[in-house]
Amino acid sequence: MSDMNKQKRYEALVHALHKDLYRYAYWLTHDQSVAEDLVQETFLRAWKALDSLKDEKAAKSWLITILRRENARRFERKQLETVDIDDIPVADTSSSCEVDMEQQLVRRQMQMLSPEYREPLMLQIIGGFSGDEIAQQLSLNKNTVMTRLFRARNQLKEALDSVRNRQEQYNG
Amino acid sequence: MDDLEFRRRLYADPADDDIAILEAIQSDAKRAKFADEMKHMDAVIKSTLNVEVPEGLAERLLLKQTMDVHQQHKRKARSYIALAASVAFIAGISLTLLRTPDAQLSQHVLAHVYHEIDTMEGRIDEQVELRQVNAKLASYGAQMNQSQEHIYYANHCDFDGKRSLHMVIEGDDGRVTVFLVPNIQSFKHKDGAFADGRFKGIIETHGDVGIITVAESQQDAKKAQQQLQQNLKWQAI
Repeated sequence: MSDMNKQKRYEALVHALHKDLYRYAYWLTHDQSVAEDLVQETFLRAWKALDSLKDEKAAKSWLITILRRENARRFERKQLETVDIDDIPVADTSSSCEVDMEQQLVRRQMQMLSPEYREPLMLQIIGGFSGDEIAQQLSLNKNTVMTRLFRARNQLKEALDSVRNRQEQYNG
Repeated sequence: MDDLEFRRRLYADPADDDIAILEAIQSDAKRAKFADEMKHMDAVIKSTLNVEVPEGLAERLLLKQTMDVHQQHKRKARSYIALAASVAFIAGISLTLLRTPDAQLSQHVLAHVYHEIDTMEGRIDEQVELRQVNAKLASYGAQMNQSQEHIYYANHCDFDGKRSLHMVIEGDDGRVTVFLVPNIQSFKHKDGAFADGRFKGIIETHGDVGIITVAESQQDAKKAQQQLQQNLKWQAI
């Protein structure tokens, strides 16, 4: 591969996938600047190993694999700090309405969800991966993945329902 | 398909378009309602996950890669030519700096800040107590009688061959680096402000000791100077 081609290929990858990668990193780390560092590291490694990416269609899962590995390295370097859920800044991006309330609630629930449930959900929704692909990415069998997805959404739904019920009682 | 199985599958994947699922939805209004709820919740999850991406991230990623390539080239380039060029370059810079003595000091300050940039970017917080700071300040003939906001870092360091105090404290818009440099006159500096693209700094003196503050905002650098002037008590040594 010529240098020029490699460069073009890399730029295309950055433009097409940096947002998904950042969001994935953000939900792994809950920290904007750590997430950005992680994405930087990921793309730099991707650049160095770009020749090993044969199929452009596999780029996203390839990058997510690198990102997850980089994140694991980060933990090896530094023990996991416990994060108080109230300390996590909630970016308020939209005006107040019912959807907004739901979003806030889902955001909180997502943060409280244990990583083993949250990650399959991120891979499915951010990554757009199938159950088989998620299983491969996480080195789990597909049944386990589907069970975790089921439990993740089940927890989110129960939380949403209970808040709605409380609101109805309050309003009624 | 029984109800439990139907729900399990939609929970696991609301976009499941298996024919059995589609039939189940069409033949039962309750199931159709549940499928709608799940789709709605997924839309909310999706918009929640779609956090805002920092502005200019793509450009920064490309820049970093360009710099990496540049460094590799530099490593590869074997060359007396490069060496000669470097010597010429350094000589050029030194001459420029020698002609502007104040630049020498401020450049040195900025280089030091960048060298220990971790202390300014939130990765280091040693939660230094006033007592510890005062133990260090003593050798500069100073005492702090009241703590600055929060002290992330305080240490002696080598400032162009001079043992100096390097401190990082809390400002309104980020962290502020403070240097106390004894025998500041040897830098042929004058008091004043300096800046580069990122940091702003202020140099003031107390007798022979230079008090230098550096922050991302001019306001913070200035405020830190004022606080230090209030809080530092100097002894004759």
